[in-house]
Amino acid sequence: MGDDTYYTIQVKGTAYRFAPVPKDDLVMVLTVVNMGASAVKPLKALTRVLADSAGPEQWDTLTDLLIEKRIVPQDLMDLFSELVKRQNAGSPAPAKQTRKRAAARDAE
Amino acid sequence: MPNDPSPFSREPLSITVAGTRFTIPYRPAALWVEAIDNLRSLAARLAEPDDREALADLVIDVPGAREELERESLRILGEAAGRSWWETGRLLNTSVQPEVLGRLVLSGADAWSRSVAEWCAAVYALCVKGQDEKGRVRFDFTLSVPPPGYEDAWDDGTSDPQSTAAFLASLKRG
Repeated sequence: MGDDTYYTIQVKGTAYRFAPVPKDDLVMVLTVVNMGASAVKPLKALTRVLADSAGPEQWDTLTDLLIEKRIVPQDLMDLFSELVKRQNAGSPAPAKQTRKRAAARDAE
Repeated sequence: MPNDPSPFSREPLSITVAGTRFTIPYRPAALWVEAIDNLRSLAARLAEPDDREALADLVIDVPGAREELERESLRILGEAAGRSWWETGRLLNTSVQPEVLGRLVLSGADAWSRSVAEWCAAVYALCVKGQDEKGRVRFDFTLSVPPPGYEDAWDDGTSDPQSTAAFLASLKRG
């Protein structure tokens, strides 16, 4: 997949853009989740992968939400699951098209 | 090959991930059956809680650690039962099929008090019970065929391709 591929996912009413997660990272998260370690380890794995996927700015925002307890770790897991689902479905939205749609919405 | 080939062994196993050695304590067959759903992390599931935490950190932080954990998990699955890992896995999965488990329970076998090698031996005995030699050979062959992607690990006991082909043909005719 190219750099212009991403997935838009809503978190608490706000849309965030996520780049595809490399397959190795997907497997890494699932491995950690299935290891039966304490809850902090899946969270650590998730944050590592989602931070890369979201990019620094969006990740800062999501981290703030987490610190303010406006989202909980389960929300990140749900976010990850949605990202995996979209990725497996193989129907990413090219950045250009979405920008066009956003521009059209703004023009209305 | 196992360090201790005895099916009665209650010795711990060891794994090495990212250069760190971990000791996996003896676990009864019941725990192996529960853990086998996640082959990639089997060793971690069987590890002590503190080691599980350390393994999780390695998998997250060290490139290649996840693959090592997977390889080590498969290795100890084979080592614990003195079989190839896929044979052990198949026998453990077979043991929870209702009819098989029922027969094992009725015969007095208890997965919480047996080693994984003993449990696999009991399942194997149940599967070949009453079969003639041909049926037994067929079962052995089915059990021994490695899963896709692991064909290179197959040791069929012969290096002669013709005799292997003849053996396979004889099974098909049967």
